[in-house]
Amino acid sequence: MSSCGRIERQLLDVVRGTASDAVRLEVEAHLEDCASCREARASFGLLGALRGQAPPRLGAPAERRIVERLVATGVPRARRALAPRRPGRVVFVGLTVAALGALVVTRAPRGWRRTPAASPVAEGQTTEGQTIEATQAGVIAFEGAGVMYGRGTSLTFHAATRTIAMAHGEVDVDVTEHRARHFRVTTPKFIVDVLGTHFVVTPAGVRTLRGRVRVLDLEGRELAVVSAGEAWTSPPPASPPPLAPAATPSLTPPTPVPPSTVPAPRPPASRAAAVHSSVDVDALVARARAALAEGDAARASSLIDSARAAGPAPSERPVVDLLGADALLVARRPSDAIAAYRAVLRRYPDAPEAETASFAVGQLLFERGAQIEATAALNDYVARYPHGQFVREARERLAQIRPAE
Amino acid sequence: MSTPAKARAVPELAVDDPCLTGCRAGRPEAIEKLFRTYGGMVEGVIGRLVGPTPDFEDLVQTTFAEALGNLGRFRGEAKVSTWLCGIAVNVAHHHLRAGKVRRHVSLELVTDDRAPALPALVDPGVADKTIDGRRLASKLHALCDRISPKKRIALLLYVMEDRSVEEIAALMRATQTATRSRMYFARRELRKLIRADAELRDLAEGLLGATPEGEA
Repeated sequence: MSSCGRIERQLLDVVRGTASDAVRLEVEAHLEDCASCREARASFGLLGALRGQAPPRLGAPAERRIVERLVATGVPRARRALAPRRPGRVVFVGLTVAALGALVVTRAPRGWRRTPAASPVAEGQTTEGQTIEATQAGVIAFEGAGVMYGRGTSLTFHAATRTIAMAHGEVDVDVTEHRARHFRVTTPKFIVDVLGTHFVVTPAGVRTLRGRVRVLDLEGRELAVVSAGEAWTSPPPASPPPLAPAATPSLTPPTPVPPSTVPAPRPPASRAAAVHSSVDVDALVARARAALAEGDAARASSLIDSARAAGPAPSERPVVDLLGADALLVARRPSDAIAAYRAVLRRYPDAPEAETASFAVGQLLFERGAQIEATAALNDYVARYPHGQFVREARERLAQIRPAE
Repeated sequence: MSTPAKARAVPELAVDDPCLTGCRAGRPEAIEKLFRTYGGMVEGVIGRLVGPTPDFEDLVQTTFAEALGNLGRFRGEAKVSTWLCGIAVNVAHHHLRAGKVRRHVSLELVTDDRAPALPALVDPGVADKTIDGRRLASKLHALCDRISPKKRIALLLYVMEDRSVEEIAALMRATQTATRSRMYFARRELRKLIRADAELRDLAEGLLGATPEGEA
């Protein structure tokens, strides 16, 4: 056994190509007799395959954007953040501060300049009721918060109520906690209410980078609590059609389609065209995703239809179909969405998207109160993906269902 | 074929290079030169550690922003590339930690609109390889998302970036024992995850059958 442990360690060197001939021979001899190490060799071989690929690179436009932003930013004040203090022996200090710094820089929307000098309003100059119609991005200090806004943003500051009213645009707010006074950002559709946290608000929603925020409707009713790393999107303005009475779709366990029904790969003659289509599909999918993020289900559906018409590659079909199901969900058609998620599950049982679809079915059934079917679906999810990304949530739902049964 | 970090010659600026002085003074041409010199290296490190992500551009920018902000404290006791690599590793670590929280936000295969892969348009074989490679990278990194960021980074720095345990320990500000331990657990978890994934398992077996000695 100890031999296997040593061999497994050496396998990584074999994958790296840094193993000596003697080690390689020893590994090879061991692999002949040891199935477990052969399996390890196969697994690490995947890393080897990945290693053989060129690393991802930014294109020239993206690199140009970065340089422009770095130049616009200039040399910021030194932060005790992510840079090693002692070169050679890399020492990182102040990880908490670093996380903050990283988030601030990472999350800043494109085109934002971070120098106060670049902002039309200098820090600390806000007055009650002052309005900014930003012709360029900038930074401003307001009531203990650092407020970065993008070009075209319209903000009105109300110090008395510690509120920023945003008519349009995008604002990134880093609020210092003040127990006695909440901080608010209001938009035409919703209100974001916080104590101390860091978040980004657009007219379409809010993304929390640190802490938690409460999203309220204009009457002050709580719509959502958005924790760090989560995002909330405002529902589309059009009033949705009333939900159909709780249908009880039969939950059949997803069964893999027979190979004959799997769409056949395109013939070689059309490969070049297929690559073009793939590029189109990628772009359409990205646009559909953006439309969904804005809550525009109709536009997303139309783009998804276009993506389907463009002839997605077999590897892209699950993505497109999953997005189609998401669009139905955003359009508040849960029954159709459930059917669509099931279709994803049935058609592409081995695709990564099947996992999301599987959990989505259980979650939607749970939300609709169809407890028996939800239980079956969630159990099915847990059985299929015991280490899945939503296992914890699935188990929580199951635990919530059980007491009621 | 293989393009690990150390196999690629990383251009290096001398610690007293006027470019660094210019960067400290905020001169645009110096900042641009710094990015042009080390951009590829940083992109490689971030890309290999984090995998396909829509935040790639932001992460690269964050690395350079941090570097510029801390250049005043760089005393030149190490190569600039080593120092920048340390920042990149830490930026990646922070991102991965946050990514655990945000895992439900994005599950898609990230498209790489920046790399249109022109050869792929004329050579179907290249196209297939590109798509397969992307898919493999996507799946493997998705699996790696289930391994803790520290373990994942230690393993990937070792295998993908060809760093020694000593270097990884220094980059991650850990002891060599801790680094070896992280690599051990990462290895074990990755094996288990690949075993549980039918597609990757088949791929791995196919790969083994096709190239017994493996890598390029």
